[in-house]
Amino acid sequence: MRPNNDRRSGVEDPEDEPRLERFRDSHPSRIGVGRAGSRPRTETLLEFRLDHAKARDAVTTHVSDDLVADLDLVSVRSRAESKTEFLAEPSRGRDISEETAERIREDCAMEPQVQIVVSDGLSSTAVETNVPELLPVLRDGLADRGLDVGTPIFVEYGRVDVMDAIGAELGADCCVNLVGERPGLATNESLSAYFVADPERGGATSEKSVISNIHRNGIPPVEAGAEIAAVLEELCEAERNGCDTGDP
Amino acid sequence: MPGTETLTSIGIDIGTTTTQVIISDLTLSAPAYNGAASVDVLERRVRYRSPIRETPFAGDREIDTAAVGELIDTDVQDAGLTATEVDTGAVIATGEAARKDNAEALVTRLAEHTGEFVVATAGASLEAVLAGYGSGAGARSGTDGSTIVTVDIGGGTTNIAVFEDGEVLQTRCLDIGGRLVRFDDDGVVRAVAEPVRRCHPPDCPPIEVGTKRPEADRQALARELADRVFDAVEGPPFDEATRALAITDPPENAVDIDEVVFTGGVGRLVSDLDIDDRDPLEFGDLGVSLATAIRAHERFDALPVRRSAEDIRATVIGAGTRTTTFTGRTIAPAAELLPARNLPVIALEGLETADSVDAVRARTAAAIRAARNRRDITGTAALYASNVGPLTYDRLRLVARGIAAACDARSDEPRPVILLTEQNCAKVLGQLLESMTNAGPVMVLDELAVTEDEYVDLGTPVAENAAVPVTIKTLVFDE
Repeated sequence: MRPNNDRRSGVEDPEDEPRLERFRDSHPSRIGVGRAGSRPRTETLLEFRLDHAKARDAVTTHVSDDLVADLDLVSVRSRAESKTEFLAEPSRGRDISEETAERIREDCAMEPQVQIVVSDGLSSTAVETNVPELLPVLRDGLADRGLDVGTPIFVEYGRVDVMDAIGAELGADCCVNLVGERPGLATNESLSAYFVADPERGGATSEKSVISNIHRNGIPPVEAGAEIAAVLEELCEAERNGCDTGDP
Repeated sequence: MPGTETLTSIGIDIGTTTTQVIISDLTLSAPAYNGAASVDVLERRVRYRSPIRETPFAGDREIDTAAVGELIDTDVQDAGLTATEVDTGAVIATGEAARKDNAEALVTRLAEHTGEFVVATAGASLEAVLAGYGSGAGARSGTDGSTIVTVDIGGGTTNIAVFEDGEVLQTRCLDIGGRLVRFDDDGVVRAVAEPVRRCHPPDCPPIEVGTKRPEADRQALARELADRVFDAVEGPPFDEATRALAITDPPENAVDIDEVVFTGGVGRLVSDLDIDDRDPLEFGDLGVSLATAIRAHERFDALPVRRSAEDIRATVIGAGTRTTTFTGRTIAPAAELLPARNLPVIALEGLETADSVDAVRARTAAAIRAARNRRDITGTAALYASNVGPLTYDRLRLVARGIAAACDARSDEPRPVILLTEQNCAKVLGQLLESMTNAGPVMVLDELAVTEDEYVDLGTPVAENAAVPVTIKTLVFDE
């Protein structure tokens, strides 16, 4: 990963400017932002608050209906009825209602080898910026490998484990869930891909594999799409989960 | 450590004066799905150091292949190993030895017969870099952010590397070494190497074979060579006399030096506090005189010289522990292509400005054609794209179509497509090329920085098949 630090240096008359720049380029943190007396400079403080506001927005905004339609995703909702409920009661984000289960059984292909799920999680921004680039590569990669792919589903108010419920209802061999990650002050766009083989409700999170840090300054979304396709192929072949060694 | 893997790595340095072997254990980090560019070498532990021995030559023009082979067999045995237990490493012919008629054949053969993935290397700049890393200065520069100049003075060449923040900034290489003149026990000149003719010390007549020279002449030549070394370390600008001894083009940018480290056989003598008590002809060459002249030089005390724990073995340690790196999971390998040795690099310049499939195709085809004409490349080469443009699916599709079209048109017989990129996009380009080309199997490796003069060796996967050993190197035997 090559952190891309756009912030301006706040250090006045640095003794060794090139070296300071190298330090700053080496990490996305707020390094070398300078100070005004014992406090941050106004610009630094404003940038900090802006990044914080962006992070909050990533959590509280919604993935647009247009995007879901453009990507041809079947849109459902977890057991949470609102953003507030989703944030207050995380367990609701892990499951779907009986009505939703019925609906996906009707609208989606049953017993696919691979079920793709997209969840807003804690960053709608991550979904909106990365999934449009990632999904086409992933679809092509799975098609090249001759894998039978189900109908991709978008889950509003969805968490990682919601793929267990969806995969179990549809009888999928394995699932990938593209989830918006908890945003931070360095980026609000980070997406993760979680994998599970033989999904069932209540499956342990420790048995899931993950590719994290998917965003423009981390793993580029196009590259992640191809990587995810390769991992799914391995998963379908091995029929076991990432941390599961296969030993009895 | 759980999840880690340890490889046995060999370093073999066949030099102007000495042939050395080291064997080390490289501990690799476990591969992860975290987008890391590579599997890192967590620890490098040297577990066997051969004695320092004279390189066996057969006459003036050849290295004694059989004798070198025996030395190495003995070393592997003494380390408690068999050749098949060696996983990786490098053979390097250095200094004057690299110019012998059979150097290339010998190094290539040793690389193929010693262990799984041992690579053949040669080239003065590479020597400089390996010695710099082998001395520990490269890593130290990365730890404290200092600028360190490593000066490796051997029998035939002086190879200088400038490290800044752990990265190699420059190299400067000269035809200066302890063995430029050889003497017998009586001080009669036995051999004079060609570079001496390009060196004109004041107050010293040309040195001829068969003559016995006064001490003063030897000192005058050593002083002149020491002057060239200081000029090379402290420049630019460089003296014309220094340029006359340069092997590679000297750099144009000056650096602020925090520290200087002397390594190599002569470098070791430079650090020897008792050098004045040594017989100047102890090694039957200029070595002691040259080291004495460097120590006594008026600019020596002004240099921030630091002693190195590894001096005479710096190059071989660098060769054994630093030549091979490991890709991470982000590769698209065609297993049947591995291992691949000595792939010449063909750089695809300006790809980022090619805005159509045809423009990419034309640029790729032109680069392949130019490289084949210029460098007599006949077998498989590795294409290198430093910048393909923005990493979007549309853009990469266009680039892949252009590269695939150029590769398909290369020749009648199908040939593998091996592509290296600097950006993190190997898997996606691999996926695209796979479906677009009929040229042969496809392999893409990313986050590599190479240049057109370099060669690449790729080993069979390690670390649960997730990482491929990669060596980026030069193969220049006749500088």
